[in-house]
Amino acid sequence: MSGLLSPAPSRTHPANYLSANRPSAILMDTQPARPATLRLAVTLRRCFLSLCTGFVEQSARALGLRDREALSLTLAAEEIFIYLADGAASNQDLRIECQGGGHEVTVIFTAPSHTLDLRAFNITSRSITGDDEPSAELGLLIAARMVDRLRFSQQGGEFHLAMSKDRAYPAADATPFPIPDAGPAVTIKEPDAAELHLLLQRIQALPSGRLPAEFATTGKVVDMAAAGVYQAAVAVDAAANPGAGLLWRRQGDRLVECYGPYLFGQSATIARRLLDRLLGSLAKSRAVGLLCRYPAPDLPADYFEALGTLHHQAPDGSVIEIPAYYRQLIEDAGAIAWCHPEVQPFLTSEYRRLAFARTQVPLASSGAMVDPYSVLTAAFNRPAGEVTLRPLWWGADALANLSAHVRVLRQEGFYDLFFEMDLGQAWQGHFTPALLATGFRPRLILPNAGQGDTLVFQCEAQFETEARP
Amino acid sequence: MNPPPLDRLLPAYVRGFESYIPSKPDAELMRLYGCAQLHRLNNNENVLGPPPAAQEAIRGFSPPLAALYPSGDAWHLRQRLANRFGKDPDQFLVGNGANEVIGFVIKAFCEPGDNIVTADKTFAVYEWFATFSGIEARLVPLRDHGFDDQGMLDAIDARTKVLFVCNPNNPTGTYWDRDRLSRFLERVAGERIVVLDEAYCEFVEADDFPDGMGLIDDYPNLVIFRTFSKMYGLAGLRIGYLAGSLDLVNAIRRTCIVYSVNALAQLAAVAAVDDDAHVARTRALVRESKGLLREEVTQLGLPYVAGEGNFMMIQLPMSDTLAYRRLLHQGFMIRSMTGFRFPNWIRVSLARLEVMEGFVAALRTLIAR
Repeated sequence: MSGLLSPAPSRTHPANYLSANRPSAILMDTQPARPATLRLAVTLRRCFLSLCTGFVEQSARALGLRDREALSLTLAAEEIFIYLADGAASNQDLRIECQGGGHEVTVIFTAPSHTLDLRAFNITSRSITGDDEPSAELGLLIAARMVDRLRFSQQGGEFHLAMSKDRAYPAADATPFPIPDAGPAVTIKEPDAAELHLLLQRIQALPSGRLPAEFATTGKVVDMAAAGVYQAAVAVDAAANPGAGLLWRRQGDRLVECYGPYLFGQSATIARRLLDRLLGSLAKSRAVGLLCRYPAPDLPADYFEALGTLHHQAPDGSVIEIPAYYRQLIEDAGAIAWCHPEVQPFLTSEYRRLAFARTQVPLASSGAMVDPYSVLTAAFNRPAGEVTLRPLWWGADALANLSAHVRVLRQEGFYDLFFEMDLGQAWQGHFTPALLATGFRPRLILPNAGQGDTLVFQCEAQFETEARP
Repeated sequence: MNPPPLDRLLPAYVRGFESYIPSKPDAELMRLYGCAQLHRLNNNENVLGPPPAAQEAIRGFSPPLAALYPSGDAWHLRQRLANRFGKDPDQFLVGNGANEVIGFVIKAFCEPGDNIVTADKTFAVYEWFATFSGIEARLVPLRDHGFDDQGMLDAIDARTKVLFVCNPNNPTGTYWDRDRLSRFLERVAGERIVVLDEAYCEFVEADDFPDGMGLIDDYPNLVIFRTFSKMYGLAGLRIGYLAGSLDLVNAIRRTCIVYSVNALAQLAAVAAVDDDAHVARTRALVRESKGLLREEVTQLGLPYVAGEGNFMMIQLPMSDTLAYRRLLHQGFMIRSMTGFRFPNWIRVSLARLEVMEGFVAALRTLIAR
């Protein structure tokens, strides 16, 4: 089971760890501030707290974080360590891994699964809603808020808790220096860092359009491209001036998401050539689908299938329909979709429209032995006011838990609330009645986005029409 | 017991390779897509089936013989091929489909650090086999839908061992004529192995199409691939072969898997190889179906590429993988071409006229949506 916001970190061979129950040496793979992985194996006892925090802080700095970000990551690690050492995990073996050197540093805690109470990952954990006195779970919540991304997964009887902190980047200049217009494009190529920077500046200067949050910091995207997270193609004129571009990155194991294509005075043919370049690079790859949730006006519609739309509430209170597009990259071999009866008409209709061969399997009863508590993870896009919830664990309190999430998130100013249900994992379907009861409605299917397809719900309850505070 | 540490055990070039998932069996596809019939127009199979003598040989196969190993090096078939092409039997190596002989050649000549050169939009197995063997595949873009001879020569470096030319090319049907092929071989100057994959050569009716077998004596670095899967209708039995100069084939024999070709396939191939009437009948069928499909897609205003071979490529105003699904719902299975780096194109195998008429009707429905 996994509740990740991005793919699980790669497993590291145990031989790379020093597994004594006492503080161990720090192993460094490569030069500081270059991509590297550092590891510590330690027993979960309070007396090793300063070792843990010292390791994380020094690793974060060595991997390129500045003081402020390194301190945030260290504080988050401290909270996690205390939570684990004081709880059921006390005296268990803990492995800590610091990865990074590019645009981010990630700390991964690995320990036996049975030692963790997953409920603490609910952002509505009782500790923060004011219902109770602060509890140990508050530490986890603090940790979650100190970092940019928090991911959780379980495998082989162990949990992996990964916290990532981004390097600080200056925001893109709102009034960039004037860039000379590009002439007619003659070549499609992979951009170097300078060309990518130029392309991103041009994208930022576009009069309108919804962009991924990190596009606001061009330096970060350039670093992410250097780390292989983003890839891009640009169309350059005879003087190598980029007049169009397209970016893409992996989303999970099976999908790639593209952004653009962005044209600056170029013909529509260039958009097709950019997409052909991307599709050529994905041929014979492990990607099975290409997603586009940030379409540019010049997106060639015949290259994609319209999945549907999501609502986005603009700062002035108006509601915008955001289309999502998809292109299957391989021949569809069919799949099963676990299906709650209350969303079956939607699924049947959408699968028929999209012509996907899906065997809809009705959900069996969740049975009498139901866990009392459910767990959700939340991925935030603060600039856009969006939160995406994903289920981590099914439990009998799903309705109360979801209701609390909606209430808390709306109180915190998040108006666009989504819930992503993996139709390839039967247990997730049990959230359906609670979702419908809390105002979520099925909006679209993302094919192959999870273990199976992903059904995206959007909360439409009390959708505000007035301007945000 | 813990699962094996695959990340550590698998070489990086295997870890990064995506396995090919073949399509499901007909009955399963029909269930999934809710169609009452299924016409496979995706694999360029011969709808006439094997030649009559090969069918007779298959029917006459005595089941108890299945207990015996086949000829380990397809002795009888190599005699028959030698007789047909005027060569020594040892100039032939027979494999479990032409796919296997691709592996023989790459394994014989390449080691990590070496490279092969071929086209970016051609039969994928040259690239696949090289890639998952740790060999770089240098892919030269097609020029006017055909192999770019100059581009391939430019891609050669000191570590280039093998150049693969698919003639006629799958999926475009373009081919190098005699002069162009000879010029290319002269410029390679015997320094590297040149593979001429002639899987579809028996379908070609053009007068200037080169006979690869006839060039072997002049170019001892030339390897010819042929198959019984296409024209001879034996795809289900998996049998193909390579031919070349004696020294070259003796070198490749070191990496040849003996006993990999089953007895029934060998029997059927021996019976099929001299049936020129079957070739003529198939060519007539393909000619007629290709004419019909060209006319119909022209009326629909769809661009197409119809070269040599029992297939055509058609460009659609939509994603080819979406077209694949919608056509399957109507009972027609085509090959989507995004994986061939031809986005929004489909490749259609040419079948009997009545099937092609049904396909055209399904295509009209698809376009009309």
